[in-house]
Amino acid sequence: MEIPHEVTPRRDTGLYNAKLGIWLFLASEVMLFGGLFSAYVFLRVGIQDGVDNPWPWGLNVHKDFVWLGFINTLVLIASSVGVVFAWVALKERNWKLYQRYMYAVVGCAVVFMCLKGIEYNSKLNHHFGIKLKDNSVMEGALVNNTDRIRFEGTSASVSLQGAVPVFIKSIPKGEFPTFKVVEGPGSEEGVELHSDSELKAWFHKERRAISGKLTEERKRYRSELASGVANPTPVSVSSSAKLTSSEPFVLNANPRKVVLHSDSVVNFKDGSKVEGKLISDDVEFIVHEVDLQLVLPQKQRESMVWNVINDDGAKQQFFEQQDTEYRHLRKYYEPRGEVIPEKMLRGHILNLHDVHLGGHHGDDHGDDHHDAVHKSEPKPSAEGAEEAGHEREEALHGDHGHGGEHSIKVPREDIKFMGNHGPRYGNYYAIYFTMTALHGLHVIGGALVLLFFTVFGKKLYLKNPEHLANRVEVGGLFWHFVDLIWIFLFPIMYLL
Amino acid sequence: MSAATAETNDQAHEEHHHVEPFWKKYIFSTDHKTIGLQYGFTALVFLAFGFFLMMVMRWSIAYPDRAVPMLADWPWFQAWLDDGGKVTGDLYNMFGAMHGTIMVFLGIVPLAFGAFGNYVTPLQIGAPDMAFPRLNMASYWLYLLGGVLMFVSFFLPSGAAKAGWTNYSPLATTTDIHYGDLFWTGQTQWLVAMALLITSSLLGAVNFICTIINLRCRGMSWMRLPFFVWAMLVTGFLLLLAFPPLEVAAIMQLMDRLAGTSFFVPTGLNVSGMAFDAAGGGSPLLYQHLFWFLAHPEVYVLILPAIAIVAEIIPCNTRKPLWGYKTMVYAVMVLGFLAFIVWAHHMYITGMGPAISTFFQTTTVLISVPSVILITSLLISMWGGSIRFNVPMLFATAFIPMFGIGGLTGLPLAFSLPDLHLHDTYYVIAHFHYVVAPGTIFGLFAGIYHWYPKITGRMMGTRLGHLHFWPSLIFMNGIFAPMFFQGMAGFHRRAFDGGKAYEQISTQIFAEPNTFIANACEMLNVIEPDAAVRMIDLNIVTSGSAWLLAVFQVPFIINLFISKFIGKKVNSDNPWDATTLEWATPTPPPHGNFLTEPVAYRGPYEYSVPGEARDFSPQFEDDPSTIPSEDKKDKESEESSV
Repeated sequence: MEIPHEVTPRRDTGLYNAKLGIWLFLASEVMLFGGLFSAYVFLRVGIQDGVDNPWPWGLNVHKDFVWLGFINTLVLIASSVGVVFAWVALKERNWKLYQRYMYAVVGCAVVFMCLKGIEYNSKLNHHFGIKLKDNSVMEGALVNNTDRIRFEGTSASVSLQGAVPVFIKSIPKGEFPTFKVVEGPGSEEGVELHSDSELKAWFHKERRAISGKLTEERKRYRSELASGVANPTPVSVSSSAKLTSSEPFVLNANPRKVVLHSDSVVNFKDGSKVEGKLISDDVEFIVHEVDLQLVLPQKQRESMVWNVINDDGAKQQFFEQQDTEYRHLRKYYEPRGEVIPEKMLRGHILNLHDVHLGGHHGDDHGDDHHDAVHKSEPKPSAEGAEEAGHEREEALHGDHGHGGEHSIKVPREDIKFMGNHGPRYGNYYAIYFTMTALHGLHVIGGALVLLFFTVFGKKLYLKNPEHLANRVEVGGLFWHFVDLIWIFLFPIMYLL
Repeated sequence: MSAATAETNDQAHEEHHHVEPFWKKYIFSTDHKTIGLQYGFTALVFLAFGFFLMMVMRWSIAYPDRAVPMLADWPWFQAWLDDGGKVTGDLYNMFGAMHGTIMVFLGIVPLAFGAFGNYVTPLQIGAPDMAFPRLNMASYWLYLLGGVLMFVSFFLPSGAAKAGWTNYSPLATTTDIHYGDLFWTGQTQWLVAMALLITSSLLGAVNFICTIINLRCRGMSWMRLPFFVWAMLVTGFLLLLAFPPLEVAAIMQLMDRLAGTSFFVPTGLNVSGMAFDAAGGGSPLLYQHLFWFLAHPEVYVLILPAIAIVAEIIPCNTRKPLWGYKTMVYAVMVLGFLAFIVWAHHMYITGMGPAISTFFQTTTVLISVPSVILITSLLISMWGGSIRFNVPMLFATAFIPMFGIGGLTGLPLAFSLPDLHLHDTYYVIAHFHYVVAPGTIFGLFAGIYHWYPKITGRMMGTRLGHLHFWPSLIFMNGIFAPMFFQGMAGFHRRAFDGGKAYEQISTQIFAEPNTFIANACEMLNVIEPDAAVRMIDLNIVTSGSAWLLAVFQVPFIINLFISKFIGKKVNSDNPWDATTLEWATPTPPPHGNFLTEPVAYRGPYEYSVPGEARDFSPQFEDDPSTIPSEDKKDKESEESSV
């Protein structure tokens, strides 16, 4: 059986099936990305000033990576052109040339994804932000995963209903202790669990046993009810178990999975609980920028962030930059007979500035590194902050990755929200990662299909070159679309 | 180029003579008819499952103080029933959410679009198969995978999704958020499964549209397409363009749950007394916009295939042409267009503002015009015909008033003022179930009875058919008619305990003069003091009807299976004396469908043409005087090229 118009176009529509199909598919893709772009507009326009996180400026976010994005644009355009040349080569029945162009196209896709990877890596692993309780924000870098709650556990309580307890995910790999079941509903008290898989197996077994018991109990309860007993004994099946460890074990708890923690106990969201001793709770952080856009101008000098940073030089540096910017704005607006708009006063131009801890404000970035060990002592007078010679040892707290920069300790109770510059960090980052990742998946998918046509296309080429040319044309149409999406994404995500 | 064509021809012949192994013929088949049947059976299983969920819910509503019969000892239910064996709020929420999801996305759309569309469309346009047979297979398997995921999610520790079939954020974002492994929670699996189902629908839609545009046989011009094909074309476009925004919503909600983004999480959200750990700044309203941008067109995806099936059956059994065929075609196109600009009428109470509400009220009222054109045309088609009331015709006839009730009761919901009162009450439930349950499902039943002889070569039993139809009609109304009254009296749709809270507050509300409820109740002649009690008593009528409805689906199931073996054999390939092309194929149609190349010589509904010997003039029967000269040229040029 042959499907009509698989290769040759239908006369009245002028299209072969696949070409019609790809245009329809692209229509649905337009709706998909259209939906995302609409969401972008909806979210950005819907920001309530002073309440929601301000939408960052693309150039501010990406800084040095803007040119990478620009190169990526060129790379994709080049590959889009390449696929046309490949198609032409195929139409001219020049297999060698076709293959060469196609490999170039796929190569462009690889380059694109690599550059993308560099950019993602920088955001996910080298940028971190902390929002304090008064909505002041510090941008910088985290030292050694100190956002985790570091805890030394000795025993754990779990509920044997629902899902596997989360606390086992907080135990570093390879450091799983030997747990002993000391209290439990099952018959298996005293059993020893040596790894997380053993614990899981034990958990599932106990859970089944408990649900069996519960069934029995309920049957009894219902039969008593049915036989007219006014107040039957309520169903009670104990479902909690306690595990102790022979030696203390390390727990690096993700704060997102923890409800409450104190010096002696960590309560996880799913109800499991680990008892022991808190090792350290402070978040160690290297500050690069301070962002006070969500703090009212009159409260900025008393903001919590200055207590946390505890460096008058940095504070002074921030407000000097603010003054400079303010003068610039005045210079712009006053001759026009206008006042500076409210939006501008609250915006990033006035309220987001670099700060350098350890003195030497106003110098270049490079200079910090030489005097990194030195940190200015807080001084009442702003004038003297520049040349302070006191040392603070804990400032460098064994951090090699960020050698030469001061870290501060941020008390956990002061923190409202923190995270790396991943999708969680704010709606800009969320939509940036969602759209670029979805676009990236399209690039990967498209590249794989084109690679397939290149590597395995010879058989079809020998049988029916026109059919292969059609396939490449259709794949190329998709490829142009992927390119087009990026041409929209680049200015919207990087420049606006 | 001609050489190339010849080559593929040769290859096609070779394949044709090759005997296919069982798994290729029935399981991983690329034949549109097999895939249609696969869709059909899977969808029927899911419909039955969705029905089961509803019956449990109805027990909890009718008898909130009694243990669920029979189910209390099932192992799965242990985690979800309370000690006495009564339905818990969690179970009710889960079943409610999954009933809606399963019925809409896994039951009716696959049955209407996947099964009937797949089986009938290529036959009616004279095509050997769909334009992309392998894509067709992929779309079935994606659908099955999505369905299995939905089903498996019941057995996760968290249970299946519980946040309503609409999955509104931030409720859906924060449900079960305390689980350690968020990926394997029902709420997340709902999103993953939806993404698969959406992908399946998109592939299906592309395939349908392509097939209809590019694979029509010779002579099958646009205005000779049966109405069913037109409806499939419009449905295909609805799916193609409306589903991606839901995919966006699903992706964003998935990100919210797994990556901790806050697309739909507003600033300062508290969950069970604690600040929710997210950056905030998101918009719950955005989710609703994205969701309803799909879900309103989805309503037409549900109803158009049923209207189209009825439009095939009515002319055939009244022996008259379809009245206003062209008008119906234009109406369905207008309907398809308007379906995209009415979505926010589901969101009047979100506080979008009166200007937006006004716009959507206007478009919503506008869309009733093409709908009424369709229904009226079907009604007029019966006027003066000598109607054969066989089983498919019974269902088709019942479809019209049932859909009419569903449609007309939607009008008050189109206006924001009455909607403020009726929103989320049983009135809404009754309204859309009248459209979808006795409406669409009756249409689909009609289709099954109508095309069964083509698929199997045997007729379905008439007696069992009657035993199926009449009780179904009665109990469908028994379920949904009381809900209108309850809804107007302010009965909320998500009251799992049968409205205990309603009983308490309603005594005060009924006492207030001139409230909507008081007026409605006065109109319905249910006045104080026992009005609330009487409203709650209606629950038992509804629930009883639901269980009886289930009982009377048994004759249908028996009929469906035994007729394959003991049904009356058809005496020709065209047992109903119908006119469209699917009746030109052998019975059942082989792989490739037509033995000779089909040609459409005339319009699709030429019944009782004056001067002809018989009362039907099939599209596929040659009458040389009616072949347009253009087609002749077409034929000649094609022959020369081969």
